[in-house]
Amino acid sequence: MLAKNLILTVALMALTISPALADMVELTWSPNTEPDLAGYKIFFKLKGVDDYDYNNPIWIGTETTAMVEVPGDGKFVARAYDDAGNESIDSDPALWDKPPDQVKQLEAKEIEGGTP
Amino acid sequence: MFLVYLNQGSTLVPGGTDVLSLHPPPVPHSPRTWGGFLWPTAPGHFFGIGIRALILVAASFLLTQCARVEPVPPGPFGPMGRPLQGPRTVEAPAAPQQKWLGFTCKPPGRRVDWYRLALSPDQGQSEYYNAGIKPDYSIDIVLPPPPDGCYMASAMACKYAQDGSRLCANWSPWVHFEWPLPEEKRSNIVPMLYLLLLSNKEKKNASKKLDPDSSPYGPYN
Repeated sequence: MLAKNLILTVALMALTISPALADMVELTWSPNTEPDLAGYKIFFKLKGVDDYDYNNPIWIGTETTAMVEVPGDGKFVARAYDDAGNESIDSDPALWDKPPDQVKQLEAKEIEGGTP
Repeated sequence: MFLVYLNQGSTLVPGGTDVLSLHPPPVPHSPRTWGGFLWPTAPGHFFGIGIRALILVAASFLLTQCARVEPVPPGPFGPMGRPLQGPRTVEAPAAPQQKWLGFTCKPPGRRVDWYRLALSPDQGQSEYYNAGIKPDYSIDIVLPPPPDGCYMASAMACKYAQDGSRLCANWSPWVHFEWPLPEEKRSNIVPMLYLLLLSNKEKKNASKKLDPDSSPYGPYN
């Protein structure tokens, strides 16, 4: 029987950015120990969106690592499911906030008649 | 590499123109009122021809004189009703235009909520400023002119994370500059003139060289 309180450890690493500026994010988590474990589902919602779309996981698999592409900042949750179709509740969310890009081509300039 | 570790709800995020030329139409030199008043003589008539000739000579003389008269400020008039060639007025010297210090940067590809700027004299302590963002998401800051000398500056872009924390990029590499700035960096007139000299073909070539990442229309998520 699958534990209903799934605790996931998610590490996001190896960040890359595609030309479309979407974020490729790698998620990893600790494996569950239930013998009838069938796999995991990952859900994502963009910042500002109220609910996850539980009908459309962005990833399904048996591994404990997932590489997903997201269009921006948001939150991930994972769910485990077993052979009988039972599904756990959400894991604690993993926030995805990518820092701004480093400032490039900084240059001093003169401003006439400006006011500080 | 950015690492985000999450365990039971805890999140750690290391901080990691086309230029248009205006050409006003020439101002007409023969006002219609002159023609209507001085040109009623019947064509071909002897006196008419004589008067017309006189008028032409007089008008030519007057026009020539007008052309020679340089603008003078309103003032007393002489006995012939012509302005006196008095002493020219001398404009008061304009107050020197204050020059302020600002900064620009490449528009970021991602959302930025504010910038942090570090300004340091070559020998001395850095001063830190919070700077806003311009419509193109570049740095919006105007600082009082510092004392003449050599300076260096660095900036970093920041935004608010979903949990309200402040999330900033790394500081940019130090940029060295001299104040006051060299002539070529003093105003936007220089690049504007340069742009005027660019042909359309050159403009196209220049645009092709732009880094696609330079687009300010990123997701700003």
